Amino acid sequence: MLVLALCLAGCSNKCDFKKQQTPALYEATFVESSGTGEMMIKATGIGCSVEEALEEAKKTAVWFVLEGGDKPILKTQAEKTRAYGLEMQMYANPVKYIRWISDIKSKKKEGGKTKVTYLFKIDVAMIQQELAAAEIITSTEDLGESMGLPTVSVFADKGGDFAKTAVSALQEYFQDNSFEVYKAAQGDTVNKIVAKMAALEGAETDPMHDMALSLGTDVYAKVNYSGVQGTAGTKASVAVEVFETASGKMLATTTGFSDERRVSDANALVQEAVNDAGAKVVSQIRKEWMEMVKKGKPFKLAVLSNSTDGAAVDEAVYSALKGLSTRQIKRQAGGKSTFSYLVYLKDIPNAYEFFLALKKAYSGPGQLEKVSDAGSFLVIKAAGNGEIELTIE
Amino acid sequence: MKKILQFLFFFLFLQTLAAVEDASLLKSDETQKTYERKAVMGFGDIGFMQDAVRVPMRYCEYNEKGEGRCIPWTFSVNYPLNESEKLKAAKIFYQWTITNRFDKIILGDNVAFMRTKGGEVKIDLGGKIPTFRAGTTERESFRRHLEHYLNTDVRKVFGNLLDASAEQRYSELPEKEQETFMLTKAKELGLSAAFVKNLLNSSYVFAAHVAPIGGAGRVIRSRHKSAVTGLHYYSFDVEIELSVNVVFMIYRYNYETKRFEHYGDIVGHSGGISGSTDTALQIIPTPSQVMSVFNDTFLTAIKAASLNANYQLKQDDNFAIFMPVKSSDGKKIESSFGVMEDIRVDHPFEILETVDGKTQRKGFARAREVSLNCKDGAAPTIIKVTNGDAEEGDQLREYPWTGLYFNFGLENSGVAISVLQKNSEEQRQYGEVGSFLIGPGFHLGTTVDLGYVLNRSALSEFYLSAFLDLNFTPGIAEWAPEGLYLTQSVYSWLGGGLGISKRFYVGSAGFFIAPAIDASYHGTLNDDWNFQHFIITPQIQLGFSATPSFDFIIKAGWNVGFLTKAEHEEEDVSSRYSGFVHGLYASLDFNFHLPIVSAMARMYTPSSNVCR
Repeated sequence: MLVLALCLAGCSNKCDFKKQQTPALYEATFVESSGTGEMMIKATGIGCSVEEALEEAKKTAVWFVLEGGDKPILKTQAEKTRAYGLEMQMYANPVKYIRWISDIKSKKKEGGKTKVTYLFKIDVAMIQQELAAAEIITSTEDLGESMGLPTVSVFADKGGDFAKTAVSALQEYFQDNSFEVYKAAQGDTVNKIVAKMAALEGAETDPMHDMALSLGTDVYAKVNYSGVQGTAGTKASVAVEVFETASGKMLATTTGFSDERRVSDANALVQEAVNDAGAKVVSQIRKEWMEMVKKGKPFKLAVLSNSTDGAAVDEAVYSALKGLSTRQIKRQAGGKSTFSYLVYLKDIPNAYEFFLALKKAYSGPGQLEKVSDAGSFLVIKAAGNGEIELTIE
Repeated sequence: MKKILQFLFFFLFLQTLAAVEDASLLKSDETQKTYERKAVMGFGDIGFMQDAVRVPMRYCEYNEKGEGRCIPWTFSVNYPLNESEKLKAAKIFYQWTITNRFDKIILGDNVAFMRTKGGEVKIDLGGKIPTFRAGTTERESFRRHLEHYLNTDVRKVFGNLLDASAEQRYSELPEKEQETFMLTKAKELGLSAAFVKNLLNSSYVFAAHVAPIGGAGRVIRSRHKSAVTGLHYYSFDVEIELSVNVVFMIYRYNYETKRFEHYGDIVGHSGGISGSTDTALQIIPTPSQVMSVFNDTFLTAIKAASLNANYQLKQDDNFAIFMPVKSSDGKKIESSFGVMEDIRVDHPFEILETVDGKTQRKGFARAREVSLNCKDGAAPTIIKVTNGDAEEGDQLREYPWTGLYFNFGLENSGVAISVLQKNSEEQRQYGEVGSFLIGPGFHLGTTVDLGYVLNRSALSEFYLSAFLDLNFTPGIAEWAPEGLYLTQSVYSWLGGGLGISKRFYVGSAGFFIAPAIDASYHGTLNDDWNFQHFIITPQIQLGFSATPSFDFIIKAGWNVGFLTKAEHEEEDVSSRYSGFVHGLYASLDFNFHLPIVSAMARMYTPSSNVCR
């Protein structure tokens, strides 16, 4: 008994653990976006004691934000190589980026070492800023300077009042991430030109797409809310689909979830689910947007003319567009007097500059006149003789 | 139907699904499991295999020396188990077995008692729920009846509500709207929403069935000799012994099979319970006096069986308290669990950790200050490590314990009785010429942790012992004209007493030191010599608590007392001996935990009522 007692008091396996600059374990999971600049990460560390393992878990959490998961800050090998030194500094002082640590979520001994798991809230924005300041990644501001972040509109699709709450929350999220958000006011309708274009294009168009075109936003997001009643309370999920307005191409899609809990007002859960979805969506939009900077931004062009000059105007505009874009011009609709195109243009940030460039390159009947420019949507008119024809319905 | 069940047994499935939730990223895993309050449902009508308890009585007559005989008596105790008696027994069962760590609904005859954190309310069911009639039947028949009741009667009333509720839940109604829905449905049934909610949330169903109660009784007529007048007189006493075994049948709803299914049985044993009249009666006892003794013994037996069932319940991980360790120094742990979870003073816990996938024990700890956690923000329960150590992230698991030990000790209880030498026939004055010692022996007894049993922090680690000693003397010194001589006979000494000790743990290896004092009375068992003495034994104890179920103790002390009787062949020879007796006391004791508390059940105080 005495031996047993002494053993209880003193016996322990010898633990051999050499601390390194990099994390000793790479076990981490994204949990949620708890704010516009924060992420909650579940990370595991290993060491000879809980304290040592906790320090390792902190490094793992920072590593995850930098390189782990499906949306790391350092996306390319080149970025990772450039970031090496700074990354080591971050591992040396991970506390600088940690805003909150949970209670211990798991503790196990394996091979004589202690493994612990915690939840961490990581200040992702600070990490991004430091990486941008070191010119390892391109900062949001840099992106904005080069071609402007896309303007966004957000619409509720399904989910009743909670979807509306989700729309407001997502709009805030976009604004916090330097996007320009256009809100449709109550009673706003699709403008006549867009309606005409939709009619010409024939296919059944998405009314939210038409509204986004009317508002003149580069991208638009559709939000669906659904709540699931679990045993421990309600769990909110918010599905977000983001489309490029001009082309209708889907840019991002994700679903955010709240934790399952009992609340008096489920709107709090909606906000939490939106935060989760927001981070993923913003990351995907930014990624796509950076690609666009390289390949060209899409613009939708509507040309109004009349039946007399229509064909010549169409031909001249098409030729001018071919001169402006290295990519294929997509002709979306064509009538006798009204035409629409989708064109990808490099180094042209907005519809007005598009108009100026097109006007310069145009050599058809009459002169090009701008009817409207909004975001990625340009409407022009051109006719040698006679009035412009725009018949709606 | 799966949905129905989730709704029906919300807290049960909260627990069940907690395992699922553990997989969710925000939750802790099994190594950090924490007890979550559960709701249980029970029935006021408990099953008996007999409609009355019959205890045959015997009539005994004893003389002053305890010699006598017993004969069967015409009188026998016949205790009818009517509705009120059963309800009284059920209340004891549920009070002691399903303590206030659970929310309880006890369904009675058209009435229900709902006990939650906030207190107890009585609800008139107004005929809305068919009463469960346990009847008088053997166990398996009772079980079939119970299962039929649960799977037909209970579901018949609440089935539609459950189905509808589940559908509403799955139609993703927000919580507020669900509450409204619940309120509406409760109104339809004519019951309070709180009651309906608790009933539907009950995670386990408990039903009790009492095995045949065995017992025996005696009316004793004893003859005494008055020390004052020398005359003989008689007194009467009633003694009843009972033994009660209760089977707790536990059910829970299986949402796959859509039925209440058997979860397990717990058999609570009372052990032998004896009761007697508090004071000797001068005349033969009346039936009401006998029944009074029986009642006290019967209720004590039920309490003892319930305490044993509670002990067994805590062996099930679904009912035991679990919590992760939050400790700053590895020796002192704080917990938010307290009186609301029936944490008592000195409540033992195991310290567990997961090593290479297996749960291993690394020590023990005991609650020292219990939180009055009636409301959030209360001071935490302070748990101190007694064996091993604890670190952040280890797990505490409640250690099933009654606070009661069987004690066995090997001892040398030295009591020197001094023999005086007569100086002269005339003066008859004696001088000390020698002494003899009561020598080796052993003792048996019970030891109980008063702090735990009485749930009083002031009595933390105070242990009360009751013991019987048997010691031997190789011979006694005697004076004769030719001088002192030692008789050759072996003399046996039988004694008994009480002791109290206070343990102080030293370090965290399980060692403790305990100042203690015993008081005991001993006498010889031999015919020719009759020595008796009373001693007190201040002592120091050095012990090691290997687990809360076993400790061993080395005791060293000094017996100090006085001789109360010295007779030889019924002649008073006390003048030959010094009145003062003393001697070295040493013992090696072993304590073994007792899960069946028997008559000690009388000492146990209920869970703290401070929050009610």
